[in-house]
Amino acid sequence: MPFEITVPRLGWSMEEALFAGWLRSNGERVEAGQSLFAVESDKVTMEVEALDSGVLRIPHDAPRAGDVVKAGQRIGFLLAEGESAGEDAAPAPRVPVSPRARAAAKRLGVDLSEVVPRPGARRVVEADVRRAFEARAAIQPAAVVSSRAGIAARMEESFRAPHFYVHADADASLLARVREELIPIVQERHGVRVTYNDLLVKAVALALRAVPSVNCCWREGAAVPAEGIHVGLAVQAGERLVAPVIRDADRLAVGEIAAERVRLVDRCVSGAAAAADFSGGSVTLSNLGPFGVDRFQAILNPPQSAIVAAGRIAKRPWVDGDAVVARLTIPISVSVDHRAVDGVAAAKFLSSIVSLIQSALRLAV
Amino acid sequence: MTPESRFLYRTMRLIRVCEEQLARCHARGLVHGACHTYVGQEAIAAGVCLHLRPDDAVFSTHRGHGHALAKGLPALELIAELFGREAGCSRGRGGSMHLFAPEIGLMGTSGIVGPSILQAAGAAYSFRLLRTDRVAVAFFGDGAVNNGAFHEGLNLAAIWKLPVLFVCENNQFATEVPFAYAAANPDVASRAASCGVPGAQVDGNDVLAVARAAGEAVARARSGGGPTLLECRTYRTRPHAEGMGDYTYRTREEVESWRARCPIRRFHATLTGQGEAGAEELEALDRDVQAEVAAASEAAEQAPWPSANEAAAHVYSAPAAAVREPGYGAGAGREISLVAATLEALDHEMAANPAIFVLGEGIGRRGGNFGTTAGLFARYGEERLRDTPIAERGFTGLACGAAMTGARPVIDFMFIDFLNDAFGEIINQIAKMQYMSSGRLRMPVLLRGCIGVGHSAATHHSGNYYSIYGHIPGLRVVVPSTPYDAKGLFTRALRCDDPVLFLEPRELMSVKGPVPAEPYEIEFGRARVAREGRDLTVVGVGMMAKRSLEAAETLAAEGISVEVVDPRTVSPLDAETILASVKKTGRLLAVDEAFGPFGFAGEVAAIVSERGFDDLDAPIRRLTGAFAPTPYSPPLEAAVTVSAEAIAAAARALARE
Repeated sequence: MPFEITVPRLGWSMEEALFAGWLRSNGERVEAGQSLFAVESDKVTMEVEALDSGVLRIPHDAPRAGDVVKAGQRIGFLLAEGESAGEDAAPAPRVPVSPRARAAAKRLGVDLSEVVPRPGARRVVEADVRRAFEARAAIQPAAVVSSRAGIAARMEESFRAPHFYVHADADASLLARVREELIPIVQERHGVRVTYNDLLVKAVALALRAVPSVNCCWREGAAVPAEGIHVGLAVQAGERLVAPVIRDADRLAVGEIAAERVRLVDRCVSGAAAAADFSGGSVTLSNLGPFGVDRFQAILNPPQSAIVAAGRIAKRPWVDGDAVVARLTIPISVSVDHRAVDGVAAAKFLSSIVSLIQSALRLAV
Repeated sequence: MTPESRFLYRTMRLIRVCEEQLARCHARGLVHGACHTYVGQEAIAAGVCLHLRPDDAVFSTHRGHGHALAKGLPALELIAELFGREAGCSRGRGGSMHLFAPEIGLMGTSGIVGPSILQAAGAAYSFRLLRTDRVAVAFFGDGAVNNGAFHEGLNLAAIWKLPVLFVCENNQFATEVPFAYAAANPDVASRAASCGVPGAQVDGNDVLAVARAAGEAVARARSGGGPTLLECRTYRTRPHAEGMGDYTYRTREEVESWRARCPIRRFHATLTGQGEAGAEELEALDRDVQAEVAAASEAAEQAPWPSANEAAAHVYSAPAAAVREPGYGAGAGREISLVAATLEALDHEMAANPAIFVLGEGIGRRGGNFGTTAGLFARYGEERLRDTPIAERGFTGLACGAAMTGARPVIDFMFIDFLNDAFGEIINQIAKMQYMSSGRLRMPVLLRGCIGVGHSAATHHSGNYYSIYGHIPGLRVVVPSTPYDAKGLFTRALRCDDPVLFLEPRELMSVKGPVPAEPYEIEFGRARVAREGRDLTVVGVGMMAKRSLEAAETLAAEGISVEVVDPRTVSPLDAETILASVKKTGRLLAVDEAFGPFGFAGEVAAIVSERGFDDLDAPIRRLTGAFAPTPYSPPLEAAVTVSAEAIAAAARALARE
């Protein structure tokens, strides 16, 4: 008989929680007492230990990171070697897998038994595999998990990627003026207050368009080009630092970026954020300027290829011709995964961001 | 002995000894394929070739060893070719029936009966167009004179007074069918009268009679007096081919009686009888020839085999230089029709290259049924814009010979359906000539005609057929869909050394589009991504490219993003661009107005399933014309072709797969 894995009631009052992701892979041997999955309730993330031993079987309809789960809900099985999960495991409906989907699954390391085709589809296609892959990628605890232990583990793993850093300062005078001008316009049109982050997300998106080789993720030993330009933004959601992804940021107006940012942060704060809100990005922007940080370099958010760190916008000495003048500047650094992005591309990407900031009108349109 | 007598005697002896040696070698297994000997007919090759210069051209038959040797081919090159060796005159690509040595005017022996007549007429056309005094000779057997090529070739040579000599070697059997049975009028020479050409009959076993008659005919041709038909009555005294039985269709007595009339013995007697040569002198010549052939045979047997790696070399001439297309933008503001675009290209290239001439029905003063040569007659004259009789096989075979000898013919067929009457000349001759000659002949023949269904043209004026020609090695097959593509591809075709079928979709001929004024080329085998899209790839040429674009527009409104790839040339087909598109979209719809089985759409599908399998998210779909001849009545016609709506429906269904 398979052992059922259920969501435990945490504390007295918990009825439901946010599923934060599996800590083991489908098919992996798990011993009783080992951490099996994580759930988050009342802003506390708990790693749930296995009560029994066996081979983990994650059914196709198992919750994905960000899904709400109920206490007592069965989310998987532990099987004896060679045992099947039986009828209850609801095996994926038998539809053929397209050659392209099969190839994508192999490339991305996705187990085809985990892939769910679209309702009514005649076969599993590549998009289904990508969805499964991104859902799995989003299980990366850092996306939603805020427990110190979870973050620590993730940071260790992130930092293992070979980092390479480039720095530059940009003249932020025009950026500041443009933002001042935009505040009332965006307020009127979108009902939100435009921030420097919104303009910087736009700058990062346009720079990705200019240097497409950076717009990729490092997966399974290869730089996989991203589909579309999606930029992550590290933000404070309640007590947690999360990095939701603003999709197609290169095609959004700054006001739309601002509105999308507010929507995503609200979802994160309320716990409504789903895996899709954190997936698909190739680069994240982290701005510690508002916290008084002059300059810093950030740690990558795998499998993303780069992270852009922005420092405080402040008046600093600036050489203008032969004179040193006080000028509003913003320090920018880019950390790249050196396996996915080479030094020259990183440099071009940084200089593209700098020049977009300095000609900030291009960000406003 | 005069040099002429010496040539005649030595040549006949060389042919005889060579043939006997080849017969022995065939029995020993050294000759791998067929071996048709010329024993008994030696006087004809010797007597005719006596009057030919190395730059005169000879077009021969399946029984051509004698013609090759008489034209000056070294025995080694003949024997080595039959042995399949690299030292053979066709480098092992031809064998007995495909002997080529264009350097000495041997323009090929042939496995097909008839084309030599047309090709010789074509060479003669070329010699006059290029302002030389060279002449062409066609050898053919009695079997050819009941073939259409004979009538078409003689008529074409006669109306244009071409410098050509038609030599019928009447050995009385077409393979094993007696000429007396097969010919309603067995007097071949008399048939010349039907074309108003001088005709003469001579004893083909009398080398002096042959030489005399041929001398007159060659002189007439060289001086502008036009063609002659020479019938040489003779007999082959060995079987049709080595190893075949001989006495089922003729008697031993008949063969023996002709052996007694051996042309060599006869000339020997004449020479010694008249005291022109002594028996010893001739014996010395014989010994000399024996030694030469023995040495050649020995050397051929030791000669290396050709490299198997080179088996597919020389199918095409070396590719012309890569070019940069000017792009559609370069033609902005200058919109002309597809026909006008090709006319512009033709005019420019004709001005630049005097070897280009056009053949076709109504392409002279009239300027072509579709205006394809409008205005050119006045500029370039009759010799370069030549109206033809309705004899597709004839003038296509003629163009083949013209291309083999330095001219660059353009044949304007009006409708590709007519070109099918010349099928054999295209796929057996024009397409294969570069290969058979191991790359020493170039075949710049441009065959143009319109294709496609529309306007109740019905079944004899609606064909597509490019799939058939795309199947044949040696041909380039071009199907433009825009005026811009048409001009660049037509210019490329006119400058290219390979035979090109240029097939213009009739329903697009008057459609206008931007065309740069300057000459430019578009490389063959470079597809155009006519529209970019994400969800599926549609591949189609000509009218199908246009309708696919219309369908893509419809589907865009429904949120389905279609990429349209127009290969522009069916052969070579740009597999890379198609594969790259499918890699992007994951879905392929191959569209073809032509019949589906074994066709263009099937080829595209096969390429993608072989090389792009892992890129496919759905089965490949084909959408082709109905497998039926094209009917006349509009509703019937619409039912067999492929509409933009049908493409949209198929693409829609595929996007949802």
